[in-house]
Amino acid sequence: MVDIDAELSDEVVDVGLRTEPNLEVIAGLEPDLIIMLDNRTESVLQELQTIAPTLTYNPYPEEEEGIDQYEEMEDTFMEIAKAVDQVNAAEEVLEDLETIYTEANNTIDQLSLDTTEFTLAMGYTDNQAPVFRLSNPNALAVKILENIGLTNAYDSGSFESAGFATVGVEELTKIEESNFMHIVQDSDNIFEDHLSDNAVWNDLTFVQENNVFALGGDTWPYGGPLAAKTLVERTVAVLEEN
Amino acid sequence: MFQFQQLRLLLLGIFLLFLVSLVHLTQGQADYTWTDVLLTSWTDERLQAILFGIRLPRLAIGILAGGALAMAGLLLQTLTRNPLASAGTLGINAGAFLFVSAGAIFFPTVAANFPFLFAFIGSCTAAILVFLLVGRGMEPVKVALTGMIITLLFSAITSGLQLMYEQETNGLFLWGAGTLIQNNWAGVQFALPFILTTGMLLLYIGKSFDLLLLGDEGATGLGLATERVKIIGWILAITLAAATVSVVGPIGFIGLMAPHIVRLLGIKGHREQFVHTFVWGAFLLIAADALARFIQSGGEIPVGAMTAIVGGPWLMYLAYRMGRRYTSSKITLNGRESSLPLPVLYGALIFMTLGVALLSLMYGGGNFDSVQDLISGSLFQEFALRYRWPRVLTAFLIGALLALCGVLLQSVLRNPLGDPSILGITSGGGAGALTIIVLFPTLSFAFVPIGAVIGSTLAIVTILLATNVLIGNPSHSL
Repeated sequence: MVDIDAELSDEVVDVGLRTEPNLEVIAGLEPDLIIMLDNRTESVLQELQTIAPTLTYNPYPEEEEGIDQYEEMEDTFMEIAKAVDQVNAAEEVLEDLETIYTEANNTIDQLSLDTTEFTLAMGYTDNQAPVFRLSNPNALAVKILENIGLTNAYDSGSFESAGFATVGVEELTKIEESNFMHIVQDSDNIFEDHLSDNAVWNDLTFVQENNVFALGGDTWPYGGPLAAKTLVERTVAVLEEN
Repeated sequence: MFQFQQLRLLLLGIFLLFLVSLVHLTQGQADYTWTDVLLTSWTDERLQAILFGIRLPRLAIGILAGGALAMAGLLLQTLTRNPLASAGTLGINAGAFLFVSAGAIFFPTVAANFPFLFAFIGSCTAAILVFLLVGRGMEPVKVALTGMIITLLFSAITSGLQLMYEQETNGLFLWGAGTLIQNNWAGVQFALPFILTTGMLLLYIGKSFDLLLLGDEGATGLGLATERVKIIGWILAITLAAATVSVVGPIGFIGLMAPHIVRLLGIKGHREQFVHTFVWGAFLLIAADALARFIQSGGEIPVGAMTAIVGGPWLMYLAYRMGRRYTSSKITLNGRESSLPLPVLYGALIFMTLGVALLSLMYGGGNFDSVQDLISGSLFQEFALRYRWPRVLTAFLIGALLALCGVLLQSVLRNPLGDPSILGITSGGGAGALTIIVLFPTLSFAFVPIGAVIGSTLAIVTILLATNVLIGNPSHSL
């Protein structure tokens, strides 16, 4: 589960996976509006449109679209707000977010960190080996952390539409001077299971100098303003603790 | 003189393996060039850690796995006297994958602590099942058919599990395609003892397998305990394949290509063949992995996919040659006269079909309608008419069409396993649909079925051509 500043109501109904929504359940709810990820399932989209007006969005814009994931997030947020007639409230949320950024920025300035460079990683086990999704410059979460005065260290060298490259431990040697911020699930603790006796990992600068920061498995590097708020708060908290 | 020639070929193989291993060691995500690896690895501690902790285990498991798969392939080909036999045909891969998936879902902690255990038990289970079902004679055709059935059964259960437990089985994608990724020496430590012991035994009893090729009667006549040698052979082959698949996942075609190369080189005698095939198998697998990493240096292309790209055409070529060499064996499709009178049989079938259809119509995706809903006519309300009836009718029609398709294919190809999915017609369709999606992402969804039709047509034409069915030689389509 993801930790954000809001709870789902008990009345929320599970309508299936985003790739295979359960049309009958959705139709049964008689919705006024359907919002879904644009994942090129035209047949499903057509079906949904016969049920209710359907709004689609794509959080992972391609390079040639000339819009980054953060702008896309704001656009989507405002578009949904318009559709549900909450434009004022939405603008307020985005303004609050800016205030949070400014405050976080000030806190981080006062911390006088060794380096403001960071790498954001989601780590997990694949085929009994630890792998990392390292965030690329175009990632939503990278833009958020740049808004609070940190600088992104990692670039895979090619455009990644989902905003990350999947790499092994070796790749970390390229960004070992940065602060290593990671999102790892408790149920898949790669640090205890695989990395504690890994010579390459133990030799990395950020491991040696204790610049490895756990943001917690329920931090959500995607999503909207509320997820962004959690990400910022957690980042500031772990940096302050150091 | 002949011995000398063989030695030269072996040295050539080892030299090639050495070269490709060097290339393999220079590949990786950290920024080191091949001169660094050769020159500064003596002093650079960081590079030593990378080489020893990450790259060497990968190389070592690659050599072991390639060699073991090749030896297992050679062994199985001798035992079944079928040049197309390999570990995959025994259901070993499907068994391993099923148990790994089940382990990840139901016993995640055990699976994390003993990573290779489930795969090993799974592959052994599958092989033993095939063994038990076929019976002592281990007749080659029966083994192939039973292996196919076990594979189908286990894969179906695995897919079911993966659908139901999408999150838990997420990290198994690479495994399902075979990969050499290693985090430490644990994989090598697990596989090495098995492969070493089996390899030694194979060298020790290698001569007996030469006699097996004379046929059961000839071999027995020369004083060989045929039955015993065969059973030992099966056990060794299963051990080799199971130990490999537990660490690197299912990697196909090495067990097919390496022994074939060795035979092409003119190596005679099983003892020599085992040694040569180990080297060539290791070479092929390391080369495939090096190539995969060369093509996509950042991410990870499963090496199993790579060997399939090279091995697929090879297999087709071999099958084509076999198809020409062997004449049609007379396979009759055995049916059994039903003991039930026809009206009763039809009645029961119709009753069952209607029952299942009713059950399916009552299911709304979330829960079943109650009997009360039924009485109040829930099946004819708008939702049911719009969403459930089309689904059930489509399923009914598709099921009927697939069954028809199976009947036709089975009688045309005179093959009791003639099913569109086994023959690759379904995969052909899938490949066609994917091609359309990948190559023409802007095309409307309506074109995807067209791609599928083209793909499956190509598949069936290939099968028919390869098996010469058009000129009346229909028995090799498996």
